[in-house]
Amino acid sequence: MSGETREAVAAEDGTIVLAIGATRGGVFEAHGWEEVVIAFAKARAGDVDGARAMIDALLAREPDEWQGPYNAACLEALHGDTERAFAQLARAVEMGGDEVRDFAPGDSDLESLHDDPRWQDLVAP
Amino acid sequence: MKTIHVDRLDRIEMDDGFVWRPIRRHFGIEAFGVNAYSPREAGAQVVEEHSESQLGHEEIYLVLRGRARFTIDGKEHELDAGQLVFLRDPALRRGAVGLTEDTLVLALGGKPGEAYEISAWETMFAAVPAAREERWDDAIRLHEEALERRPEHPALLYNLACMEARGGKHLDALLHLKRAVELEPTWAETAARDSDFAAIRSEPGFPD
Repeated sequence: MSGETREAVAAEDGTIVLAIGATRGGVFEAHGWEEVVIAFAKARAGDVDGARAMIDALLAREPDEWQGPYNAACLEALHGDTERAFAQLARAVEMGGDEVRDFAPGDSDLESLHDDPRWQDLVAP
Repeated sequence: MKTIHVDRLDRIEMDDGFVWRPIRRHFGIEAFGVNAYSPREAGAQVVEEHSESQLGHEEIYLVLRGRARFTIDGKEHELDAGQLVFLRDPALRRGAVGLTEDTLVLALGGKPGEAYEISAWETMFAAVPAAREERWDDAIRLHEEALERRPEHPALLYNLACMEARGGKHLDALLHLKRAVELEPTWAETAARDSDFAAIRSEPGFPD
């Protein structure tokens, strides 16, 4: 069932899990989440500009998906550029509406934005 | 949600020496192709020699356990557990031998730009135990089930005709063979040499 949530914890060092997935009856397309994961790893390693470049390329390739600007907002919020974070979050809300408003409050990546008055304006119902 | 250890999956021994562990079929996966293979014994085939030219699949193999020697486009590559080999070009001939008895290889494939369809060979592989034990009704049923999803698949029709001919259902065999040849005329040449059709080759209506 597509609604089943799933996660796993590695019970020992050296654990490696192979994951395979596709949509039944649909053509497989590589999705941007892979690049988002790499971009965030780059940023954690100190290469925030490199991470931004990857996210920008993703935004250019998938301009109609709210997840792009949303992840850009997370990246900026995590790395201290509040202005860019709100600009991207505003785009994500504009594109994704309630789906983004429901998801964002529980996302720890965006915690640094919570005390800013713009947060309530964008995310509050 | 279902879980199973790969060693508890069905073991279907093929004539080439490899054992098919039908992962996709076990779970009823319809979104992608995935299977595992082991050798009947150390030194036996673990991935049959083949190309993916007909299906157009990209393939990736992961050695889950043991050690396998792949031969790809005539070149040998020994892979330990944890190593992957990816083949983008469907025309490349590929196969592998399990170098240890416990070798286990996971295989995944799909055609770029197309939704996954269950490959007809799975039905033919699944029918091998029944055919080997001459349980023709079981072999026929497996093919009929597959044909419910893909009623005009020439290879499935051809193999159904084989099972019917061996099982004494000669008229059904002739009808299905005729339809297979209408859809894929090259099957006529194969049928002319196929021992499965020995009992019906002289019947009127057997494809030329």
